[in-house]
Amino acid sequence: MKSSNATLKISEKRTECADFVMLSYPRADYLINRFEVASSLYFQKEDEKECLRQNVRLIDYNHNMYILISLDEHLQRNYDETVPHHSGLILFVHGNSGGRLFPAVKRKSDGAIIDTSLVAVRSSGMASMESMSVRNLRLLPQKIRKNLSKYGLLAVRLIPETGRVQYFIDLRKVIMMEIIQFHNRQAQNESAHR
Amino acid sequence: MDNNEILKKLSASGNGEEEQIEQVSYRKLVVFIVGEKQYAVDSAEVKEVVIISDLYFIPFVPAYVAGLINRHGEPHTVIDLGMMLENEKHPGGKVLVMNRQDDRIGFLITDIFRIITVPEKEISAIADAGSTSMLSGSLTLDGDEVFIINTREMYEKLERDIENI
Repeated sequence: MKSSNATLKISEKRTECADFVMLSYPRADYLINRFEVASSLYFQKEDEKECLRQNVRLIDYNHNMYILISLDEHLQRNYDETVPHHSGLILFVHGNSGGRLFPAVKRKSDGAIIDTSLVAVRSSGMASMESMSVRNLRLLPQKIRKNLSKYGLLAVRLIPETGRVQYFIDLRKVIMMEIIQFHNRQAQNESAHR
Repeated sequence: MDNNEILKKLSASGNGEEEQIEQVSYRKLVVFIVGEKQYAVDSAEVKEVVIISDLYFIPFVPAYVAGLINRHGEPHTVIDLGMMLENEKHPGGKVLVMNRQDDRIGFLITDIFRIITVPEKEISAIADAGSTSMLSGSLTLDGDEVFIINTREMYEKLERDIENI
């Protein structure tokens, strides 16, 4: 009886823990649920050149074409982050975010077949893995919580020792926002050409 | 006329004693400074006053939200009262942490002035204050005007503004 209780306590503790990919920028650290990330690769600054002019781009990886979102630009635009401008990481996130908006990207992909099972997210932030109890995170105060969740900002961790703030973000929401912005920009351009 | 009827009549007419006593109600207010002006809130609305240390930035909020502070491990939204009331940034050294069940919120102020108890009748309504005014009244304290904050309207304004970000 004693041993089963002990086992239960240990498993409860384990389920409290979660793994996060932490991307550090000058103003804050951004935590992404490791569970949402299928794989990742490092990119060099020079790999960027062929990429592209808009906030939603394409990347050729293992002979498949994926949508590429820049987290740097998202954070720069919405969080007023300064981007470190060095090599970084591309995270492949399980896709289907903003599913109905993908056709707009596909129309602009010059006939390339886009694999939407994964979406690539590029970040120049300093990357590390963080395993911690979810109890270290705190829900945002009530009045601002609902609105910030619309932007993919789910919870926060304030660290008084360092004065740093860590935001737990929903990367799928970020992808959605970027695709919506791309879509809107395309719609504006198309109506301007008419 | 039975006893009950007699008592009813007595209570309806009153025996005059209560009328002699003037009913005076008082309000206990925390008076504080924002820039050069003095404001006040009911003391029951204030949970604690803290000296500001770390103020953590937060995106997607109106300009008058100064950031987040950490109180007992919990993040609190901090409203810069100077920005909200006067659209001006003043040096903010302290935070009034508000006593609310439904939210964690604080007001950035310059400093605490004092805590006072005043008769309700000394508080006057603000002439041009509509139902959405963030000030609910004013009083004169040592020759200076003190504005009483309508916190309910402030919370509602925050909710409205944040929806429109």
